[in-house]
Amino acid sequence: MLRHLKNINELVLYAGFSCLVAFLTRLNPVFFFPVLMLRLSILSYCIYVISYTEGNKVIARIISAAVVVGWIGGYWDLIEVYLQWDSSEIIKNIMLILVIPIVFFALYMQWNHGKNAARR
Amino acid sequence: MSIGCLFACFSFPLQSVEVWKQNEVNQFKQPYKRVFILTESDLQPPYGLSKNRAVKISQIYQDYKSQKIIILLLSMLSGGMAMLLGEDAVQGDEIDVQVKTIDQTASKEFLLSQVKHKWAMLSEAQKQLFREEIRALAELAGGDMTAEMTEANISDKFIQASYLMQDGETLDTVVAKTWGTTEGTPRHNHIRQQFEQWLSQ
Repeated sequence: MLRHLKNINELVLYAGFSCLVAFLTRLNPVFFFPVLMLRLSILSYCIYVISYTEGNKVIARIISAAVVVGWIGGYWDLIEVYLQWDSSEIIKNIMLILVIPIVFFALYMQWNHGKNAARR
Repeated sequence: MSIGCLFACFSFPLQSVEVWKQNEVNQFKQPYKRVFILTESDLQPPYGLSKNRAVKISQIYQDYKSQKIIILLLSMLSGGMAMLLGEDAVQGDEIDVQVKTIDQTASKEFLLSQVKHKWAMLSEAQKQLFREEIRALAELAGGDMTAEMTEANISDKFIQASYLMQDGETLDTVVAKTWGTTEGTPRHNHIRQQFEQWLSQ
């Protein structure tokens, strides 16, 4: 129980940092692209650690969740404005976010077809 | 505290925002309304917006920059403080769990090592007695352990028979006693042949 409490506090700490970075990026849009790249690289490295290595998976999960929470939370008031006045933009982005991983997953499954079955 | 402050800092507007709507005509001569959302910190106005034709439909001029960032820092501070304060308690809790599991495994291993030590100190005859006791227990429990003629069981019977031989019995009686066969039957002869082979080895 205490461990979960500690993990939640850790998540909030990292999410707060991520959210702060998002706020500063919104106030200085020059840094939008570097911060986007940083977020994506941290996320992909965390996913690599979770799925392929035997590193500390707990901290990798916490950091990846914190990156996502801070990203969404930092832009939340702008997202509300978009939802109210230009919801097609948000829907377009959500569809892209959903469809791109599905396409990549399908490609991965095609490439990986039968390999796991042969091992069993 | 930390979670509440984090979610609170998501809610209020960070920048002043203006929403403009502009009537446009697309490639197929169909009119549509294009929406532009301008924020305070945009480096340049979006492409296609002319403020003569467009109409401002909404605006947010009251922003909460410093408040949001202060609440966020408060959340981070309380989260970090909680982690620092609870570090010892968390470690103690983890250590208690680890100690419990280690105790359980250690007691099991101690019992196992005791049994192994006793087994090593036993003589061959005592081992045989122990095996017989275990078999009797298994029979009482209704298990089929004795019914299965495994390799180990067969060799054990050979050992048992060899002890009887040392006591001075004849080969036929030994075989009849240990395997429960009657003299002259083909099974008796077969087992006797096997036993002779085993003795010669």
